[in-house]
Order: sequence, then structure tokens, then C-alpha cells
Amino acid sequence: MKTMGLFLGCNIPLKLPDIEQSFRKALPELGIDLVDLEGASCCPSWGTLPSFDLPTWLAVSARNITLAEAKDVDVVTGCNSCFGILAETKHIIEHDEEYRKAVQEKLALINREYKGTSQVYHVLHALYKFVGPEKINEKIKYTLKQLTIAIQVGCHALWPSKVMAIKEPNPFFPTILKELCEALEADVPHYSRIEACCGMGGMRSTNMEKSLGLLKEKLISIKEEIDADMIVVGCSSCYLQMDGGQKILRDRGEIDFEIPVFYYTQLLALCMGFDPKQVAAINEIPREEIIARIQSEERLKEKQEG
Amino acid sequence: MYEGVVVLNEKDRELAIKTIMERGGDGVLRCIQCGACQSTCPMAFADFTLNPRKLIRLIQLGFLEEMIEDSSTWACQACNRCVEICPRNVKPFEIVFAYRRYQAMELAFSTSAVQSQMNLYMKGHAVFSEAYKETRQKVGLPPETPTAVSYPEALKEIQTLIENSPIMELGLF
Amino acid sequence: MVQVSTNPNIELLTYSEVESVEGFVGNFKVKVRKKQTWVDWTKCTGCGECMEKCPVKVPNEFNAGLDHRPAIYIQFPQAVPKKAVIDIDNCINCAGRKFGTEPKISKRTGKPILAPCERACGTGAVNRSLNLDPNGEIVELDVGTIVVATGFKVMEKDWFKEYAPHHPDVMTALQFERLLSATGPTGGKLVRPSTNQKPKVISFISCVGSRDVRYHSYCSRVCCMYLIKQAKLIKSKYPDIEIYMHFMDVRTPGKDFDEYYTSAIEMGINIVRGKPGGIEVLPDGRLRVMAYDAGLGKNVEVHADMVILATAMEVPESAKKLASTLSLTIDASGFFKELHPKLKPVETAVEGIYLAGCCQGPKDIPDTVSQAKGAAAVAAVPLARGKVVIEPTISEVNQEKCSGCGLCVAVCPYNAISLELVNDRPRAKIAPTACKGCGVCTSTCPSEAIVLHGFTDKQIEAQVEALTMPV
Ligand code: SF4
Ligand code: SF4
Repeated sequence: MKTMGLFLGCNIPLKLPDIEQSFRKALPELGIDLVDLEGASCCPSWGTLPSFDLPTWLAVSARNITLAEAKDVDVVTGCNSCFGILAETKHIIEHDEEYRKAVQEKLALINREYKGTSQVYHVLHALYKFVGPEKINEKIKYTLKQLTIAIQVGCHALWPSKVMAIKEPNPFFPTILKELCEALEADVPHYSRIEACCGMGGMRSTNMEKSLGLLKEKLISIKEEIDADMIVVGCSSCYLQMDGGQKILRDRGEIDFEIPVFYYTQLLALCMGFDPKQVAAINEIPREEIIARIQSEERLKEKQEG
Repeated sequence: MYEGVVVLNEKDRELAIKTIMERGGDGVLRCIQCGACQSTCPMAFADFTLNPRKLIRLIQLGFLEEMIEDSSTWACQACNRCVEICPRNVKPFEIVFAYRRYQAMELAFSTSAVQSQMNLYMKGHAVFSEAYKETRQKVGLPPETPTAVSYPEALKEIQTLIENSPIMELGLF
Repeated sequence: MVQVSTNPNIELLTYSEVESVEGFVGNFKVKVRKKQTWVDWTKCTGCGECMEKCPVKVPNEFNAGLDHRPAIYIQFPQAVPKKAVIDIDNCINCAGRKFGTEPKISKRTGKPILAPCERACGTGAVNRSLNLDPNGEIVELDVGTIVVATGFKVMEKDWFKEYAPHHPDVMTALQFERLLSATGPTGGKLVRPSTNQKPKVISFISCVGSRDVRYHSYCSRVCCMYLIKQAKLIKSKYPDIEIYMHFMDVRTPGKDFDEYYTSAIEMGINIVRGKPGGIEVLPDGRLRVMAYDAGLGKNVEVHADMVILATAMEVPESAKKLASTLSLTIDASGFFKELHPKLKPVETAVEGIYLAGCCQGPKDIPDTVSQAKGAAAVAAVPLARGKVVIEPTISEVNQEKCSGCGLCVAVCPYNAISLELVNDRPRAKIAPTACKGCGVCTSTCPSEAIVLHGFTDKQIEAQVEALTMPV
């Protein structure tokens, strides 16, 4: 059993708590115990402190990491922004003497000290490293045989690879999420815009139209090239864009299809048999039908194997 | 002077480069304008007026103030794809952010940036939703989050860090 | 090469490695390991029959991994000498015929059961009953001067993750050169490896690994020109193939080079200035090159059937090992260091050892030929003269003071010091032709037994005194 400090961020606990619930349900059964990091703040996201003052960004991020250090656990997070910010912070503090000093001085104001004893993991990386596709496959109740998944890893889990403890063998052609979905026995074909940005993040708040333009290109690649049954994301921001943004495009008639979207652990929890009302309940693009298909009698693993 | 021509000068150039370097964009002089960063940058895909390559060129030539009202830089996704592939270790993303920091300190940023900054200061969360307790209960979670918004002493720490930073000079809070 | 092999004054040692070099200019003792070929070259006629029969398939180095070769093989049809060798690591010892074992006797025919290569060889050059030494043979040569010309290798495509290296239609320019060659894997037929169909659109990308601080900061110097050559070759043979060439900038310094480049543009070859940042793989297997065009200042995309990467030239690891065997220095870019970039471009810090070709830095064929001729001429001078001029500012051991501790032997970067027995006691001795006067031994010697002429302690003290004198 591995114990990890769950860093929630903002989107997941405040807007998409069904994703939080999916972590709390699925991970412990797979051997990852979660402890809360009480008092954790926003990572802080790219548009806030990082865009205003570098040392202050690093200090607020470092404070979040010290919460895990105090509990002697590694950080695990499901939001790509949080992951990117915290991993980048750790990298900068540990490679730049000057910034490290500046951060320690700031942390001293609140009686804290950065030690560097906690690693920062993305939840997908943690699942991949500490559980592994094989064990995941053992633990699922329903399989996704003959269902096609389009994966969307999200930028911050790909680049810059130098800040990550667990790296994609080739971040431009990512395979970690693919293998995790294959552990659920789904088909996970390649599509050309697989590594492309979904358009969420700073772009969405700066220029919604341009942001949706990127999303549209990605969705069309998914629809036309592999006609996926669902999109599986590894980032809560990507989730909001792929789901909510897709709804906007659909309502405007810019696309004429709907593809349900899941955060990976939501799909995992569903395959493990957890209640969709708890682990997959907040969405714009309807998921009821596909959820019913997933948690159906004929998908029961025992039955298929027996 | 012709309308279509700009005169280059060393003074503007020095100021622009210094401003960016001081704010974390230390690679600005290494850029050779190969265009690799632009070729896979989401900002360029979406056709924003600025992208990392173009921004760097403008800075290299001394055009610092000229783009201050351009909000393109705030569309950078911080995806870091440019950092991964730049052949000169320019870290283009850091230059975009260094420029943002310059813009921010000159009060040239969007209202959405102000809102999330305020949220962070007041609630500890840049993204905030008043209805969160209800949403959490609906999926079977306790209404309170284990995060800063539920812990006043944590919020105090975050506020202390922000209060002891140059951001206070902006008079946002 | 054929001429070299038939020249009575030249002894060619192929399939060999330099093990050690001792001595100094005019008197080098070189130990060379002639690697075990497992084939008797006095009997092998280079007919290639054995290659037809060997069942093993190993990626063929000569065709840059585009096809396969057997375990017993002749490297390429024009190899000099044209002799077979057995790649013993990949040999599967058919019929249990490990070298040095007697063959089994067939119950049916009563004859020995031989391995296919043995059976195929009409001259008896392959005889697996022999107990051959896997280490080969060491030969010792006495030579006066040495010219180092190890050549280069090109980087593999796997380094460049953003360029879909796993895709068979993405290849290095060297692989492409083999694909275009009449003796290459397709006999010169231009096809996409993934489909075996003729490509319609080809993209070339320059500066892949060169001018890139993630790999090599230097310019490989030859890529712009050979890429243009490859493009022109295709365009003149197949005018219907669309060609896009992505250059950070085009470098054509050299006689007639720029004319060659501009004529390519006039032929209809598209030059796109800007470094592509990535390649995406389309569902039909084509490659989406994500690029930037400096002229437009905008992003452009090419949907290509093949992408050719001009990967950087670099010094192979084995050459770096040779550098330490020869006491030569490697510079920051990994190439062998010449003594002076302008005035002593082929000389090295070791008297009597010279450089030629890409081991010293990337260069094209004309430059390599010029440099090689220069190196050959410089290497011939001491041999013809029978004497060398040495610097007077070199070190000397006062053997009376020397305690024979040997510390100096270890520190000398030029291997100039050895211990000799004087009245049964070890004493250091410096070879005046090898010493460069660096002074490391002088300052190391605990007995103050070594003097560097021109820089004795007294002389240095006097200099310091003169320089610090109040005016
Ligand atoms: S990739 Fe690097 S060197 Fe090339 S234009 Fe962008 S910042 Fe400049
Ligand atoms: S980090 Fe910003 S500048 Fe760099 S590629 Fe991503 S969006 Fe473009």
C-alpha cells in the first residue's frame, strides 16, 4: 500500500467533485491510500501569480508542497495545471540556488521551509507506476471491449519533460493514458491531433472564439479519423473544455456530433462498478447512455471470461 | 519618416532586453528565429497577433511598449511545447510569461486575470464557485473541502505571501 | 580504395583496431588488433555464396538498417578487400557447428554434417573445425608518423521525438541516400517503406541535431548541399513529385554551391525557411509536417509521404577511445582537436600524429580531400628529413636528484616520461621529442629533480620580481 497526499486544486473540489470522488473510490482499492493536504490552496494557476511575480508564485506553490512534506508523503494531483505548476516549481527551486533562497525567505514569513522530500506525481503517472495496467485490469468488473476511446492527455503532463518524475517515452506520441485505457480493454487508436492543445486555459479566458477553434480542430480529428465512442482525458481543465466547449460548438451547430467525455479515473471507477451518481455525475454532453452500456450485464468481466 | 519603416535604435533594445531578462526571460538573446516554437504553438494555431517567436523578435529589436495592450500573451497555454523543442534553450514560454509580468506591473491585463487574482487572495482558489457545497453533497462528498477555503489559518498564510510581494503595488485588494 | 590496396608500398589493415601506441615521432610502436574474421582470407574469393545460405538476418549497417544481411557477410559489393567475415555475436552455429568442434557424422550418408556457410564455400575458406582465437591477432608496427582519419557517424532518427521517429517513412538522409542508390535495398527504386509505393510529396528537414544545443551546437556543414543534391536528383527523375525543403537558413559557401541551390529553386523545389517543430501522423499514414515559413511569418503545413531528416554528423564513441589511446585531445564539440585552428590545422598536440577529414570537424568531400593531402604531406616531412625540430623549452630530469617515485610518469599528458634503470635503481627519463614543455612534471616532482628549461624557479622568480618592482 502506498500513501499519497491528494492535492485537489480548484476545479476538481469546487466544480467537478465527481472527479474527486472517483479518486477517493478507485485509488484505495488499487493500493493507493489518499490523505488530505488540509489547507492546500490553488497551485497557483498560470494566469495568477506566475503571470505577476515569479518568486511569489514559487513560494505559494512551495507552501503547497510543504503540506505533503509535513505528512511525509508524495503529492498526487489530477489537474494538469496543478501538476505542471508544482512540478515546475520543484524543478526551479531544486535547480536554481537564487530562487531557492528567495522562496525560503518568503516561506520563513509563514514559518515554513521547503525541504524537497516530496515528489510530485500526476494521478495517471501514479496509477501507471504504482499500480500498473495489469493490476488495473485485474480489479475491473466491467470491460470496455469493442469501445473506442480517444485519449486527451493534456499539455502539462507532456511538456516540459525535464520537470517530470515519470516521463512519457515520447511525449509527442503519448502512450501512458493509452495503456491505462487499454487496461480497461478498450480500443485506443491514434488520431493525428492526439497531442494537440484543447484550447482551455489562458486562451479560453482571453479569446473564447479562438479557444473553441482549437477544440473544434481536435474534435473533428477525433470524429473523422477514429469515430470514438468517448473521449478520455487526464486533466480537469481539458475535461471542462472537451465537455463544456463541445456543448457550445454543438449548440451553435458548428459540429453535428456529440462524444461523451470522461476523466480517466471516472471511467476506471465505473469499470470497477462504482455508482455513476457519485463518480460521473457532472457533465454537459450526455453520458447516461454510454454509462448504461458500460455497466451492463454483458460487459461483466467474469461473464466474458467464464 | 516613411509610414512603413521603423528606425532601430540601441537604447530601446537594451531596455527591452533588460526588462524581459529581469522577469525570468533570460534566454531572449539566444533566439535565432528558427520558428520551431511558433510552428507548434497553440497561440499561432489560433492566429493570435503574438506568438513566442514574434514576441522574442520584437523584444530583440527593442519594441517593448508597442505591444503592451496586446492581450495575446495572456492566451499562452503554458503548455511548454516550445520549451521542449527550442534548439537554442531559449525557453520561449518563460519569455512570454516575463512579458506578461511586465504587462501586469504596468496594469495591462484583462479583467478575468483580476478576478482570479482576487479569488486567490480572498478564498485561496483562483477558480471559485459559490455553489460548491451543494455540488459536493450531490456526489456524496462532505460539503467542506479539505482546502484553503475551509481553513482560515491557511488563507492567512497565502495572504501573507501575497501581501509581501510587489503585487500589492497594483492596488488590487 | 582499390588503388590503395594494390599499391606495393601500402599495407592495408582492414577489420582492425589500434590497441596501443608507444614511443614518439619517428619511433612509434603501434599494436594493432586484426579482429578475428572467422574466414580464411587467403582462400576467400569474395564470391558471396555463403551469404546466400546463411539463415540469420541482422539489420544491415551498410544500408543504414533499411534491409538485412546474414551473419556471414561481405560488407558491400565494392568492399576492399572483398572478403567475408562472420559476425560471431549473431552467428547461430547451424548444425551445432561451433568453431573448434568436430562435425557430427550423418548416419544416412556417413558424411560430416557441415554448417550451410561451410558447405557453400567452394574454396574451404570457412572451416568451423578450426580452433580460432576469438581475439584475433596482434601485429606490431614500427611507424614514423601517424595520420588519424576515423571519419564520422550520423545521428539516428530516434533522438528526435518530435519528428515521429517510429514511423518508417521518416528517415535520416543517410538512409535516404541508400534508398536512392542503385546498390541500395530497393535497387534504386524510390518507394515509401510503409507502402512500397512511389511517394508524391517529400519533405526535407535540415539542422536535425546540428545547431541545436540539446544535441550539437555546431553546424554539420554538409547537410544543406547534400539535401539539395538529393532533392534535385528526385526532381529531375520524377518531376511530378512535390518537394519541400525546410531550412533554418541555407548555407552554401563554396565554389558553385549557391548556383546549385538557386537552380534547385528554379526547378520547382520549394524552399521553406523555418524549423518545423513537429510531425503528426495522419490516419492514412502520411505525415503532417508542422512548419513555419519566415517569408510569410506564418505557420504552414505539408502533408508528406516521406520526411527526410538531415541528422547531425558526430564523432563515434569508438573514435573517442582511440583519442585517449593516442593521447589526443577532444574539443568541446567532440571532435579531435587540431594544434592551431589556422596555422596548424592538421597537426595535433602530439608530435608526429596528424588529422584528416571529419574526425577533426564536419567537412564535405572537397575539404576532406584537401585536408587529407595536407596531412599526408606534413606526415611525410619528418620521414623524408629523418630529423625533427623540437622546442628548446622542454623538461629534463636530473637523475641524481630523482628518487624514482614515478609520480611524473602518471601526470605527463603526452606520455613523454618513462622509468629506466640506472645502476639498478629506477630513474625518470623524458623523451625530448615527446615533451611539450607544459611543466606539469616539474611542479609535481617532490624531489625537485625536473627542470623546465627556460622556466627554472630562478627565472620565474626573477620575472615576478621584475613585474612587481615599484616604478
Ligand atoms: S524555437 Fe527557440 S530559437 Fe527558434 S524561434 Fe523559437 S525561441 Fe527562437
Ligand atoms: S507555452 Fe505558450 S508560447 Fe509556448 S507553445 Fe505553449 S502556448 Fe505557445
